[in-house]
Amino acid sequence: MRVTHTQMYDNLLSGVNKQLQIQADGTEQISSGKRFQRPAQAGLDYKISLDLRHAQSGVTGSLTAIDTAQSRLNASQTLLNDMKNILVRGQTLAVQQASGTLGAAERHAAAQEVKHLLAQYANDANGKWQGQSLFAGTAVDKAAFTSDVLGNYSYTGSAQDRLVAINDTQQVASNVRGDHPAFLAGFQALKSLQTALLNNDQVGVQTALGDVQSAGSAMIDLTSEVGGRISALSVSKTSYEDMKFTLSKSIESHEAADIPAVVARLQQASIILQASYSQISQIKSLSLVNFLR
Amino acid sequence: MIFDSLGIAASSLKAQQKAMDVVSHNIANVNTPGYSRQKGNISPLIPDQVAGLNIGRGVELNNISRVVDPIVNQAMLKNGSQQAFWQNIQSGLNSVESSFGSLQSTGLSAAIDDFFLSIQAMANNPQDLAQKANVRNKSETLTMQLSNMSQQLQSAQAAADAKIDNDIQSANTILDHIASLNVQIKQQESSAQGITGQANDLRDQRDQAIRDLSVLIPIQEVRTNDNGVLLQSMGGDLLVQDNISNHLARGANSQGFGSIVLAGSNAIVTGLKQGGSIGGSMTLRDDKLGGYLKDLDSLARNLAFGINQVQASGVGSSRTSKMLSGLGVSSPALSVDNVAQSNPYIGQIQSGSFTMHVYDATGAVVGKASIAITAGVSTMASIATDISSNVPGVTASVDSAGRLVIDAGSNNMGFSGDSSNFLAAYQINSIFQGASAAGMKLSSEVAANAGVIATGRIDATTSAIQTGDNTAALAMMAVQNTKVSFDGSTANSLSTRTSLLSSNYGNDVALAAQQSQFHKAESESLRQQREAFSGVNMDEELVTMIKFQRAYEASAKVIQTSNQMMNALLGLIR
Repeated sequence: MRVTHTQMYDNLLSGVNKQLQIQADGTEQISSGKRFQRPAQAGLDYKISLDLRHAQSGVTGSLTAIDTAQSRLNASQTLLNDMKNILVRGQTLAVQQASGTLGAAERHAAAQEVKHLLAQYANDANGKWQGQSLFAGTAVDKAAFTSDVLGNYSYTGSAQDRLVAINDTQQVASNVRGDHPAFLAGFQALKSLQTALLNNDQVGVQTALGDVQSAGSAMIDLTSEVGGRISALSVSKTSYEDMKFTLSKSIESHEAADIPAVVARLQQASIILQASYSQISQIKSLSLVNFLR
Repeated sequence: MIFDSLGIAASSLKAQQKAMDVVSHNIANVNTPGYSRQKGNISPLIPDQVAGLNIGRGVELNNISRVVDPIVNQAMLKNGSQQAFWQNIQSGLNSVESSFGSLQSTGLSAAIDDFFLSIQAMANNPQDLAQKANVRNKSETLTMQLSNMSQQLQSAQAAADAKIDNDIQSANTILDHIASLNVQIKQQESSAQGITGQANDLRDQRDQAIRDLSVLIPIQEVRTNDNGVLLQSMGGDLLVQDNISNHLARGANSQGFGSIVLAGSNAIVTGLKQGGSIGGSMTLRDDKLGGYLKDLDSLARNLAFGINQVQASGVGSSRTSKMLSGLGVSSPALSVDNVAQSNPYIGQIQSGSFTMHVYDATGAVVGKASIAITAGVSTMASIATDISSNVPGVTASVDSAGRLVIDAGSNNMGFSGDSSNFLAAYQINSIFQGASAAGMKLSSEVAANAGVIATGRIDATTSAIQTGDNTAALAMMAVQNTKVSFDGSTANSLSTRTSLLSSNYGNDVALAAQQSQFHKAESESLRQQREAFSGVNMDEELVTMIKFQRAYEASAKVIQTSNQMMNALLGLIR
């Protein structure tokens, strides 16, 4: 095959361009730490990156949602614990006041304490967290319980739970609704105890003792149930945190540039470039023109 | 006989001199694009027959031919066309790269993820106005992202179209040049009486011009018997014949842009998309960028309708007293779901109803009414009349743009249970407004007050609203990953649509880059082959030059010797 100088120069120029492209790509990969940056560089890989980041964004949202639900349930549990303690105190008072040796004066005094217990119980049942009623369902701007003129409490919240979306298919109730029987049982038990004490009604006190005991048990059950939900959320949170870590690792391994390989490629391209430049210079002197003097 | 030697030597001087001219011409054109090296063909003159002997009469340069390989030339023609086609697509796609974002800022994808994250946060805190304001901000970012991306793609389309105009002008100039060369070649080759040589340089110029033309448009070349060339498009439209060239021009609109026709005719030039720079620009403009815009519009429409459908039947912490539909009817006399309406969502409208609830300034319920929508029957005007007649304290009318205007005066209103999809289709009580990515914007109600973003739903029976109700927000959240199609496109989730948009673009770039690289490599190879066959080798030319120089010197020596012989002969006479 005939060979002309033009062919050799063209070949060298083409090679120089290729090596310069390798230098440019390698430099970009080293400076960013990523093997690709834009969809134009790797369409399918970019799509996988977007999918991974979409999943990561979902996990971040799920963790925030779990935190929201946990904080509400924790606040609810604190108040439920307080209500349980109120009922325990009511039970203690009922046991004391059920004794036949006590008179009206002692029972009246105890009734005053029960009145305060009832008020505190109502205060807890209408408890708020971040300015929203905890036990009123979705009617967060309203009190969960209101009392009538006789001092009887009733539920005035909504019958709808406050659902928190962990993701677009999983929702959990982040609240305890005041229409749970344990709340009203507590109100009624304390109220009947107060009435019995005011009336110096020993039998009534004994009956109220049973009611308070039973309301206390119901409250303990409810508190336990909330504790169980908090635990379940903690397990779920751990799982999402693991998922977040795994996704971060996946993104890192999917996108990260193989720096040693890039450096080796750059070094190789650099050597080829130097050789090409040297060859261009050498060809210049390899011409018959230089010898026809 | 001595005179014969002088004559033979003289013919040699003449032939070597002409051959030197050819070498000189080759060296002069060593870097001329498209030049084919030329070769002086020397042959002995017809010998004399003297006494039964054939006595040579010397030498002559009987023709000058160019060294060309038609197969390589043809291959260069086709490859050049394909290379320009893919290079044009590649550079055009690269120019819109920033629209599709990068890993540092994933653009649309991040905007959609952020929007739905804000909805999730709002769903988990429906009573929190700050969360709604955040949703409004993210919605605005998303609409801006969609609009910017759409505008960038449209600008790139316009740039591709402008490039087509430039290329058409260049192609017309080349077509004229080829027609002119056809004439010149014909004249030179027919006027050269007695010489069998060709118009080498003109033929080289014509070959180069045809190669330049094929870079612009894909062509078919037919050699005619009278040394001419006939060129036609891949679809058979005549471009050049002899001295006639048919110009390309812009014709009637096709897909929003001017088509390409033969000047003076309305016939669209066919086969243009098979190669060449113009074909590349057309493919880029119509199929690639046009395809992305279509997908982007579809994404915007599905997002808007999916979210608006929930918003339309939902309620936020605030309600408005006046509403204007985002879209109007283009034909007021026709039903709202008539295909003649220029509304991309009319396919979603069905027979059903929605309920309007009216509240006073304190939030107390004033009244409510159900408005029925009958597919194929209900017009915008009839719906307005129904609202005015049935909903207490509310008047409705249709404005000059065909949009529904609902006014509750000093009261405010909410909607529930729209089973007809009328509200979402005409963007009443909506978050997003617009029928395309470029035109997407926030509704004026949401822009003015984020509190109207729906989180819950109105109780259909009591008209009661629960502040902590997040059923609407949860439904909006589900829109992100649910496969839907409200515009006749293939059903897909919004996140899949977004990632597909980017990956389709990436794959197109990869294909264009691969094809461009392949044709570039082929082009280099063909250029090497042409250079090997037709290129000027300086060493070769210099050696040839020395050969002719020596032959010239030797012929001169023959004349000198013959002269001495003549002198010797004449000396005998003196």
